[in-house]
Amino acid sequence: MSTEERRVIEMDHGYFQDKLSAYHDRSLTPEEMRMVEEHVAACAACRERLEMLAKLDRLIDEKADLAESDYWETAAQKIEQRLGFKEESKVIDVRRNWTGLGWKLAAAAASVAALTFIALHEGDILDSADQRMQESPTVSAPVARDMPVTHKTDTSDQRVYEQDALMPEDKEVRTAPVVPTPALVTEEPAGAMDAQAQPETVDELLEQVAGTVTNASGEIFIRGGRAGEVDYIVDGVPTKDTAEVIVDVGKTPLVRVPSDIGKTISVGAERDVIDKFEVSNQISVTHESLETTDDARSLDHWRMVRDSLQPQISTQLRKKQHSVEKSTWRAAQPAETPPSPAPPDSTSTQPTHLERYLEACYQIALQTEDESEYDDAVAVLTEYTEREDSSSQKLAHHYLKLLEDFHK
Amino acid sequence: MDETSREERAAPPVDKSVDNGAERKLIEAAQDGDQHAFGQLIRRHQKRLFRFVYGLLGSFDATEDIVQEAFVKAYSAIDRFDLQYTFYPWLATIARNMAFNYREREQRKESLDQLRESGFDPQTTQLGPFEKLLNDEAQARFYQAVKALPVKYREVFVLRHFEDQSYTEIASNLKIPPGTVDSRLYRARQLLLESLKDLL
Repeated sequence: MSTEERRVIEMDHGYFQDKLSAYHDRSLTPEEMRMVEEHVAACAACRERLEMLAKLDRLIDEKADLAESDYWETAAQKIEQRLGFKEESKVIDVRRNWTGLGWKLAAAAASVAALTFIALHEGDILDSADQRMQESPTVSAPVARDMPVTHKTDTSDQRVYEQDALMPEDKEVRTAPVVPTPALVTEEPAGAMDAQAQPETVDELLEQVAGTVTNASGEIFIRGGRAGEVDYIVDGVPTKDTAEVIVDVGKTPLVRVPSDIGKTISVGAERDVIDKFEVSNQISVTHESLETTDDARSLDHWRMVRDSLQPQISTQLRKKQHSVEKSTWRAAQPAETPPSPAPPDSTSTQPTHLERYLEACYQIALQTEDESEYDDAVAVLTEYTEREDSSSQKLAHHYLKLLEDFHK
Repeated sequence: MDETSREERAAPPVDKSVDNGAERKLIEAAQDGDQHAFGQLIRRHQKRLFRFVYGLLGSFDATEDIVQEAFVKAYSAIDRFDLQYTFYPWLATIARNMAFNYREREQRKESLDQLRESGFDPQTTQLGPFEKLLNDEAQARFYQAVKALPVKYREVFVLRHFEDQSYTEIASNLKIPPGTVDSRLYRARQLLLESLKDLL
């Protein structure tokens, strides 16, 4: 660059303005850096501009980081579910500065996800459970005989609910009998539940329904996390001493533990006792818990969902074909199955059996290593892309697209 | 170009922001099939990845999907991950290619009107559900301003400021000349300075 050219450029304020951004990033050539530096030394406007760029950098540093939120744990667990992980990483709220009973074991995000899922699927869960219970009346129910429970039987739909007397009345928590869901039984080794003795104590019940272990000192340990594999997060939601504690034990059911009697629970077999809280002799496995386990999304689970829904889907298709009014399958549902009690906060539309069936086919195709099973699942989805029902058509398309993307 | 070839071309830069020793152990464990280890990797990186993808797309729903898909894809390819690199840039490369593919696909398939009908409006600066991930009003202002940047400026800005990429890396990733990176970043900063001057 000649002296004359350089002089012309030095006078061109616009030229340097354009270079300030790159100068700020030290991304110019050494010669350009030197020229801009000289210009800036003599130009107040450019110095001011550089100061603004530095301020913008500071603002970005301050404002770009996203907030800590339960959302992240929920999102992580969704990914883990999607990946078919058998057991989610444990998330436990252990704020050390909490005192007394003011803490909760939080897998909070998992609980939120489970509750959301149940709000959407409760009808299916109940229908499925009812049907299986009727089909398998011999399943033994490990109900603790010494537990004061109030049963309410709704004879109209053959559903039995257990009302936990110790639960706050303002919490509309409907709990199932302390019976492993028949859906779960199918995932146990044959006869496993039958072989289990009925629990006589709270500890035994916890061991059976939550997979806990009680040591010689009476401390309850929750299986599922090896030492060093338990994640501790700080949950921003404080829990009152009398509030229920929801213990997420991974693939085992959630156990709703109202505070009543003193127990010490440790999470992770080799971890220190992290705190104390009271558990009640009034323990019930909620619908949420059943579905949490049901939603473990193992390949076997999805096969079970598919197989259990297949007859209903077939029936529905026949009905639809013969329906004079061409009513939708969803609209026909109440005639076939009794209406489900509304979930506590359910205002959303529940997925139909067909939607769950398609979801099961998708999950099977996603997870199976059996080529013929994969082909069958894809064939079902493909078949539904050709049906007239626009919603199932869209859903089937969507799942096929996801599969396609996944296998890319 | 397919995603694999893009990934192969873009050698992941070294990420200095992580404890490479601990991270390496997690990756090795994940490669050995340890699901918990991969769960840890998800939790380590998802927030940053979300911010990155959201910066590129400005759509919460699409970002959620792509972040999830990116981890799924990373998990399926974790065996092939070369331990001499760090995890996040590799993951971000996967997500970035998915985000670019998503944008191309959306632009190709649907008109802007259709996109608006389905809730994706690149012109709006409303943050919607993304706001739940923000700390305060000023941060919302910041992200609204970023979202309001035209795409070609925004992607350069995001790669530079959210991903700490050099001009050369940005040029390579976006397949534009380094001089264009310079001018686009300059323009992005000008626009942000104008819209955020009261916060500076």
